[in-house]
Amino acid sequence: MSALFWGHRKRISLQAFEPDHIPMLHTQLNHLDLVGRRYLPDEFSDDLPLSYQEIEAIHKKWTEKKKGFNLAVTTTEGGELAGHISCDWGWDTHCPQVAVVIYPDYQRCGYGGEGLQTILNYLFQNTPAYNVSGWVADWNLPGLNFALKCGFIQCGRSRRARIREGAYSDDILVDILRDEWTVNHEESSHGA
Amino acid sequence: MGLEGNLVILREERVEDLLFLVGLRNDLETQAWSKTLPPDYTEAMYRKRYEEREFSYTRHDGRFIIEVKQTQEKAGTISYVWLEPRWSASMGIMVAQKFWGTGIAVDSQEVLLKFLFEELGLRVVRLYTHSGNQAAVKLAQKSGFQISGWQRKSIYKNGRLYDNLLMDILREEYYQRHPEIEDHLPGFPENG
Repeated sequence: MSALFWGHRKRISLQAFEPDHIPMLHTQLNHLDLVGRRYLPDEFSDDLPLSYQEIEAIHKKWTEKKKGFNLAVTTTEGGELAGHISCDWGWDTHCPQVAVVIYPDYQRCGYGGEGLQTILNYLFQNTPAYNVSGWVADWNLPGLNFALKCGFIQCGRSRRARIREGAYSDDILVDILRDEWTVNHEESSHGA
Repeated sequence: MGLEGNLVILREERVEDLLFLVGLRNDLETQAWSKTLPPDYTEAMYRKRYEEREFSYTRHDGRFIIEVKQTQEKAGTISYVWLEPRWSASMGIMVAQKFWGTGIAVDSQEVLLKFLFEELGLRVVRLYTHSGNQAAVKLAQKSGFQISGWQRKSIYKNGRLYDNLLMDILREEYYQRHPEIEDHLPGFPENG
């Protein structure tokens, strides 16, 4: 496996997706708790069960992405696939979009925060990115709280992004600017 | 033929429109997009795009020439893209400077919105612009669009940073503005 980035606390590493990730992806992406927040390529359902063939196609899309990247979040201890991180700059490298998905069995361990900070560090320090944004479904309160805790600001919504359980649901837009991240970064590096 | 409004007819693109479209695209004022494109588009590029359009019963976009009813002059172009059937689409418009302030743009918007809600049964129509393009914001507001999201300083144009604005209009809001039309499509509850 090729390791790309270590999380700043070294509990996870962000790696390129390899073929031996596929069986675990098939299990994790079909987890009921992830329905509606899988952050898959547009042509794949966010709600329905995914076949092995579909997972292989998703994996292929991720590994061949040109205007962005998808990375596997793997635990340092055990080397397990704990989640995935997506980044897209198809529109403009000035304002990429990111998504962090930590699979249910690995949540509440700090992996998401570590992964996101690692990617923000990469984007703000090594690319022209000035605004990094993401979308969170309005019913996904843990996801929204996670983004806000990582320094993102809520800045509006896309109304009626989808239907969920018989009612309309919006997607909330969150973003963080390089200046804001730099200040947060400096403050945290001055801390204990 | 086409879609008829008070002032305009929205009709299909024809070969004789291609040079007009080149002119609109290469004019940095009418281009007025969130990402500045180089003003070097050619008739050949537009011809290729025109010729590559395939016949299909499954359409995800629509592109129209705005023609002034009274004079048959070409005034601009209006389109919708990213169609999610029976759900949503994004709209875009370019009007030649000669026709600014004449009501042509608003009428074109209204004609297309009626098609999108009444014929395609959409629940929401969106458009993207930026905070430096107040003309576009006001034009959209005239048809009932509201600013729902503002991605901060994510557009760099004319040497300045602007917010990327997501504007939208819900189906119910459209029919409230047009009490002369009855909405026969059952809705869903708002997000709980």
